[in-house]
Amino acid sequence: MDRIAQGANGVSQENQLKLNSREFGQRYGVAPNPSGGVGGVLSTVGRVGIDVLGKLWALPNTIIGGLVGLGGVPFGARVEFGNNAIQFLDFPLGEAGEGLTLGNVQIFPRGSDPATSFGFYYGSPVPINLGLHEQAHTFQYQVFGPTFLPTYFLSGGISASNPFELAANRYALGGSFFP
Amino acid sequence: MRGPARRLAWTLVLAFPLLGFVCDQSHAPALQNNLDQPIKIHAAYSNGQSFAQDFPPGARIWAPHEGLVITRLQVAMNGKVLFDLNSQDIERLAAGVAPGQRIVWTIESDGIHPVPLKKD
Repeated sequence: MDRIAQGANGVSQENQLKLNSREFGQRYGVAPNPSGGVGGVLSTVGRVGIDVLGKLWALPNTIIGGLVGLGGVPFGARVEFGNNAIQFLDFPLGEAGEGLTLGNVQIFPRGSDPATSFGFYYGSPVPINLGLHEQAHTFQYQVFGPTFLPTYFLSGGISASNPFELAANRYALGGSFFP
Repeated sequence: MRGPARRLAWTLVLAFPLLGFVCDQSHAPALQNNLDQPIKIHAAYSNGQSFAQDFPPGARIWAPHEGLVITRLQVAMNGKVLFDLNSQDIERLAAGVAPGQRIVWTIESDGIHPVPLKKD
């Protein structure tokens, strides 16, 4: 099994990744603040405040994404919440296994389940969870707001060299979403 | 339709083709865990790429590139190997698949089966 256990980069991938959406929730979900007390409350309030500001900053793209997503509802798309986004699942356009994020909206064609789809997105040496990859993009939108799409395309567009995509892969493996 | 609403509608119509290019894309063949428990999949592809990773029930794993062939596939549950296929085994199982057909290899309790990929 030596050949099997070696990735394209020659690095053993045995035990490299044991991440699924449930484990992700345990790792990154809301958990009691270990510091507790007033400092813990202020820390939580600060995090929530920054998150709300980020979502407001991403709102123009979220509105566009929402309009696109709503366009699929009469054709069978359904709405859920997850991965820091409003998710339109079973969208009638696109191929299975694909995903698209616009602000805090994610669109998944039929056959794409953000929790269970994994792919080697943008040259990743290991399969990446689609929902987590797209979740990273929502956080990137919250940082870059209306400048996200121009910055994304100026950074290489749809390519394995785009730092936004590489950061999304890194986030899905437990790292930072920031490019 | 009034001016601003019409502009917005046209913006969306014109932007839609662009959206097709910003999707995170997937490639066949895929692997799918149709068992009701997490499994560990060791797989190798015809370009030499491989992985060994745990996946939850229902997971579908797309290939690194379109048109690759799986050359080795081992599935284990709770440390016990359930299936271990080499390239000859996989070729034999895929014999009934039309050339060029995009497929999903479904991992079931009774074996691993190539299923033509269709839009769900």
